[in-house]
Amino acid sequence: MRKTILKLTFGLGSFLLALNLTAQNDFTLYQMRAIPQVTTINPSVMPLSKVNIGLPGISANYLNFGNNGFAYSDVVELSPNGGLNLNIGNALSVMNTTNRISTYYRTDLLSFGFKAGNNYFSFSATEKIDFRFFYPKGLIDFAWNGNGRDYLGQRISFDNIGADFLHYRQYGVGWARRMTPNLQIGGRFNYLYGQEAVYTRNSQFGIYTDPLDYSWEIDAGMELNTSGVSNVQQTLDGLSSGDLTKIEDYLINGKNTGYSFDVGFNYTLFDLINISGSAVDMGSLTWRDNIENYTLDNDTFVFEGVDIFELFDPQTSSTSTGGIESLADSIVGFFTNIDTNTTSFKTPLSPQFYLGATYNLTNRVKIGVLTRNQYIKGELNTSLSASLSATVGNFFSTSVNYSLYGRSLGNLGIGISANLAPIQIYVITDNAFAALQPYNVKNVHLRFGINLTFGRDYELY
Amino acid sequence: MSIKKLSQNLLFIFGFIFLIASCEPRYLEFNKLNETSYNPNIAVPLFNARVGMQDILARNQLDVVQTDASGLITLVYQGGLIDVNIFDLLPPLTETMEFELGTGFPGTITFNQPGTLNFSDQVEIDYPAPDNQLLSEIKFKKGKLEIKLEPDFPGITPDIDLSLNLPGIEFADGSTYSYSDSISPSGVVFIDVDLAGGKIDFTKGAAALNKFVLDYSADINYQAGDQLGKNDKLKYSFTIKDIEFKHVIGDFGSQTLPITSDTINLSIFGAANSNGDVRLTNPKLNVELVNGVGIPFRINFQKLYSKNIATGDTFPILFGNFQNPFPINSPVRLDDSVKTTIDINKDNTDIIEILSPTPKLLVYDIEGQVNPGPGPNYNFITDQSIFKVRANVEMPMEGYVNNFVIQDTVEFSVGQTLDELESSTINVVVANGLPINVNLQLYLYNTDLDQILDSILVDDNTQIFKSGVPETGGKINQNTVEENIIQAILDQETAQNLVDANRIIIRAQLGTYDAPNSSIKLFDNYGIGIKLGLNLKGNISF
Repeated sequence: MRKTILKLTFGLGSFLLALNLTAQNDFTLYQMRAIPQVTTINPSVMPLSKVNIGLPGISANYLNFGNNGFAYSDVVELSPNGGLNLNIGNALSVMNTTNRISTYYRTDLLSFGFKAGNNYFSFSATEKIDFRFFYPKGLIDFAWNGNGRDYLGQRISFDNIGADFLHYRQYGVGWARRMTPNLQIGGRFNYLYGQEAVYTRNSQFGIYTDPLDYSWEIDAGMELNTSGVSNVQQTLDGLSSGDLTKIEDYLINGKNTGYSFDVGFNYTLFDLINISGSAVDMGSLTWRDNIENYTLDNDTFVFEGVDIFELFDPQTSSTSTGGIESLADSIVGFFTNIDTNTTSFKTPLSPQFYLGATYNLTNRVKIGVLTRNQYIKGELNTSLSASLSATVGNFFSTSVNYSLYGRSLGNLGIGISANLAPIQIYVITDNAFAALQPYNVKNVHLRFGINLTFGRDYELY
Repeated sequence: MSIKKLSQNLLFIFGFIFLIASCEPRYLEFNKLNETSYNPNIAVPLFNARVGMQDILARNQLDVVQTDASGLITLVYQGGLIDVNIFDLLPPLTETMEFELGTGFPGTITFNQPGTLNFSDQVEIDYPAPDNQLLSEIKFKKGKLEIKLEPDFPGITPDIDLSLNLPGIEFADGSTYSYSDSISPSGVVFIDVDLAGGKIDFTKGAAALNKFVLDYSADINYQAGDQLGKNDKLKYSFTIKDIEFKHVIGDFGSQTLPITSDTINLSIFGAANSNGDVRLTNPKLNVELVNGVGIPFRINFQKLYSKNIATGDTFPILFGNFQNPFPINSPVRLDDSVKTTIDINKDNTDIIEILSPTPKLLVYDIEGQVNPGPGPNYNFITDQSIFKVRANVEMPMEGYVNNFVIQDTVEFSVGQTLDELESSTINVVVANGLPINVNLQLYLYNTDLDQILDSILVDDNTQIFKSGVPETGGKINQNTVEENIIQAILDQETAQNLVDANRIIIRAQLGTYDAPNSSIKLFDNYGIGIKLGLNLKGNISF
């Protein structure tokens, strides 16, 4: 059995490594119904307590950092001589064509929920910050290996290079209902209020090196949307000057709004097997405040070196720097073609789709599998997890899982919640190795908070 | 499998993962980072140029390139524009003409009663010009005629009644000069005649030219007892002064006029040595003369030769069918000018020979012969008359070049070591649309060692720029020129020689297509495309 599980794990792991896995997971939370925030990733789930109150600012804090390109140990290797080796080539070998460094931060400003018969109602206000930096493998490869060997006669792709930064607030109202003894469904409507955005809608950059004369054909195209960047400085000015109107404008009077929906279900078979699924963050934000958009239409220019006449002309006395100046002039000329406008724009959220199943070993212990798919800019990112969850009394619950995501094979998730009377403290991570072995991980994930929970009944678990 | 067993298996998996995931602090010991080798290959384009024929020739000599309707390129080297001072051909114009009226008596006569003696005549006074120069007319913008009368009649008491007519002095209104007055029998009388707008006509006498006519009448009054001696006289002097003439007409006689001596630098051959065989098949020397002087000329090439500065050798031209001296045209009307062009070409001289091999200077000395034929001559010079000379060397770019060597030495310094350069490759891609083959070599030279350290290109005989092939009609189709690729690989040894060198000797050997069997022409649409790229492989450790 053990061999079977290992084979299954590594076989599935190899397959998933070929996919583009991602961070921003919540595998562990998904299996912990004792924590009320579980409704944020499956609105059909009813927490194991009747009334839940999230304390402002401390009830739900979420931090996720990921780099799906390479881990620290892919670049820095331990040497047999006791030292360290820098191995950029190895890092390149594990990179995708486009790689992503991402950071997600969430904090609940306020949340509460309560059961009413077969229903559970919830409300939350959550501050969200998403940051993603996309870096192409070609850029690193170009810097490390140059263009004069493998890339002669080929285009080095810097496509998709760019960054996204979204800062917005989400006000959500959720409703879960037990439709039958075996079926629960739920949904959540979220009103979104945007504060700042930097969004690389598309970017295409590349260099083709002619294999004979080594001339460069440089192509570029880009669209970058920004909103509210200048608001930050105004708000800081307001803070320093005590001008509350600026702060008020920043917090609530903006015109960047949007909506999203979350839906989910739970279905129980034979009181042993639970099948659940959810789709969250299906919506978008429209940005209208302080827009500055930059567009560079796809264009190409060829750099073929300096004019040979100029080089040998004693009057101009060009030197080799003339080539650099010529290239710089070309590039500067190229980017002077950037158009700017103030047209409003829309940024889609990154919808997530969970599908899982658990098997109740006892009425307090269950095992489960969970898959999660997320679309980021039209790209599907798939994750997989296997878990073991348990509760003790009405005051303790835990879940551990083994996950494959972010092109990382070994991610150990651990979640613990403990109650002292109604005060519930919880700490969750989807990657405990980030603390134990930070050099080998590609993702850091942490969720923690303090809730007030009343009417707990963990037997229902 | 029981649930308990499954739970045990899962716990084993997680426990195993924990074991292999032990923390390793050595990862952060950056001071133990081993040396890393950085070996990028950077390929960059260095130079690129589509150089047109005109660009090549016009470089540093923009004013010498001309094209005809067919696009054939011609180099035109112009000598300086010479403005010859032709006013030196005039005789002196401020001379004095004199006439003395004597009594003609053999002795002294004493008058015993009052009376009058009249002396009158028309005389022609010669203008004192050089022997072979004769004046016909001087027309004045300004000037004056100073008339000096010196009566010398000491024995006479009353004044003399004098009247003069000068028919050669004609004023702007057409009138002539006349004078009438009583003057003292002794003393000096000056009369200034304003000649502005007027003229002096030296043809009023019986002779055609160079005569100033004086028509006078003098009444010598005397009292009883007055005496008239044999030496008594009345002296006339006429001096032209303060002159600005409008024109001068006459016969200025045969003269020799040095026109110009000049040297034309044929800089196209500036960097060439003397080893090559250069033959331009249709060079020309054109001398253009603009003559605004009413004087027949012949010009004579006293000297005409080319000179090789490098060797000092001179090559005098042989005038075959060329008529030297050569007559030039002159205007027949005042205020007119005519142009004469003298063509010295392959048909009338051996100019092809003197421009081969590799001349750099063309030297000429031209002298003018004035009124070369037998007289009389009708000559004129106005105040606006010009005589300008300019010589051009025209070299249509047709001919052939064989083993023509251009060599230059330039200072060179890498300025740093090239330890971090493992190797480099230079690719030269040439699309030669010129009918010229070029062999090129670059030598690394150290002046301290007086030694050539290395050569960059593989083979001295490498034909870097392989000539385009002329099609029927002699032109090269620029759209079908093939690219040639030459590659030079610089290894570490060559890189070290680059560092050690302080000069680069550039040596290019040129030859036209099928030289010397065929001649080629250079057209303005010809060009050469050159692309040079560098691929550097670094060897950097950090």
